[in-house]
Amino acid sequence: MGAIKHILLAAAVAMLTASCDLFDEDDITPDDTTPEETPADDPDPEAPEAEDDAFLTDEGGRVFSYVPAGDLLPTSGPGHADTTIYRPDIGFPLEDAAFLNSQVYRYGGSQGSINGMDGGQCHDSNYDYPWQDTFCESRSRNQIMCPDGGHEGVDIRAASCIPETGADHWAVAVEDGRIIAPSSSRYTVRLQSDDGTLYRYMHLKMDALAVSDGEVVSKGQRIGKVSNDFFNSSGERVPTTFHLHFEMYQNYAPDEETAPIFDQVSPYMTLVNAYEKKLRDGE
Amino acid sequence: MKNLLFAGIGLTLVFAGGVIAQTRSAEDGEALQQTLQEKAVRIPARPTATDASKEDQSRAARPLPRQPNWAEVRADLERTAGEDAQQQTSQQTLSRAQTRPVAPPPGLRALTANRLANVERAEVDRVLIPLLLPAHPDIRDKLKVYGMENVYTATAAIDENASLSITGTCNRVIGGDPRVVEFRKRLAEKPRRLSGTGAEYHISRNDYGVDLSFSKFGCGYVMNIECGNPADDQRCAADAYVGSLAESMLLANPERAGGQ
Repeated sequence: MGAIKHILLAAAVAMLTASCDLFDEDDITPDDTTPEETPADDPDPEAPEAEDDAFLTDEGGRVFSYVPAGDLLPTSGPGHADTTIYRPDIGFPLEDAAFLNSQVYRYGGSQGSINGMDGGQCHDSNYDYPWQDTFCESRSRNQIMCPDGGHEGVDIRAASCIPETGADHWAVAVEDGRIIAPSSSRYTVRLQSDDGTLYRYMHLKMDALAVSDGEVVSKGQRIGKVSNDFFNSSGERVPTTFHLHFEMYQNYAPDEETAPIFDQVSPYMTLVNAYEKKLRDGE
Repeated sequence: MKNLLFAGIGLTLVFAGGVIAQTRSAEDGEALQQTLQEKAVRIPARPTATDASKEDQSRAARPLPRQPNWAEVRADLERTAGEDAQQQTSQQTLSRAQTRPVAPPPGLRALTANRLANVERAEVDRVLIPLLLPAHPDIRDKLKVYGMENVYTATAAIDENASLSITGTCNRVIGGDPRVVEFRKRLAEKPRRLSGTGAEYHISRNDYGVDLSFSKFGCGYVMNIECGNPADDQRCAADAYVGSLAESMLLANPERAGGQ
């Protein structure tokens, strides 16, 4: 009886632990790099429909679209509806096409199954529009804008699934600024602009950065390659998908009288705006 | 003991049931993707200039360049200088044995950049705003400053498992989405205050550690502790460590305040 009791208690503890892990960062399934989880759709031999001509497309002819800010996947948290464009003039942080969506609650993520999205990270729909917001997606930690626990940036997949294609996809400076102490972090590069915005680029290939400590960089200059670098203090790799986690800090105040709080704001609509400019003007 | 056993079984079944209930089929996933596509916003290839301009203006936050309140800086320095003089007198009266301060006293004190071991003077000279650094002796001589006119960042490796950075600027961004404006106003109604410097502050946790954001002298600062294991390392998991660092600050460019 004692043995049975221990087994049941252990099972209960394991269940509890698993439920807590629901909120871990960018956790992925063990078979995340399996490319053949879902067969690719047959290529459409026909020309794009006439309706598509009316909408903005990327260089591959796909119509760009995005789910409204704060509208997250089911069971992935309340989100944070923020349509603010904090930096109207910044560029997009990747050189090529890109796809904002969840690394946790979609194909290849540890919680994909609760949305019927079992499969590897290279699933076609992860690399297609529409974009979806992931700011304040459920996490166990509290952030000022996500008081019930939330993801403090957005996650961006590159133009192709790197484990499958082996392609290099470059992250670039979104505006003129200075690179801050990349060697002081195992998986983060910071960019500081002169008017006080701070950006964090996470999970780049840290042993092959294109910038150096303190370097002054220009908008569009290459910083590093999108990868999945994520390490604990022992230097052990923490599993995550291939993506850029992008954060934006602003010294924000609601009005001229209120004291500012310098913290992370939702970059989602700022990036929609930057991507629109990139597609429209080639910025 | 039997009750505990039943509770364990019940808990297990509840969680097992929850996991099963939450699992969806591949068809559900495809349907969800279809739903996302249906509610997605597409952007006209040729928007009218007036429509785009109106929409952008309503959603855009507004930059607000601000100058620091140097008079407040001077007042803080004078106050702590007075406290230090009083403390020194008391110490001399009580004992002359203690020659090495254990922890920095709370508040703001001036320390010129050439007394900071790892700071380049030119980086400090570029900065036109109050350049605040944590005063803790274990950190201050490891700090490296990256200065620009309106913003600076200082970084230091605390040890092999944790690092610190602090960024400051007086420029602000205001406005934007009315829902966010209201949310932020509610936040501002209940600030916590650092007892050492009197600054309003908020604490956030993130993937890599903890942020303490504080406003002082009309400017905003964010101090970040990054830990290799943020959930287990008390310097990131609890508020005490980052809070204690923010209680005692150094002003590395006191000449900007005048009279120092």
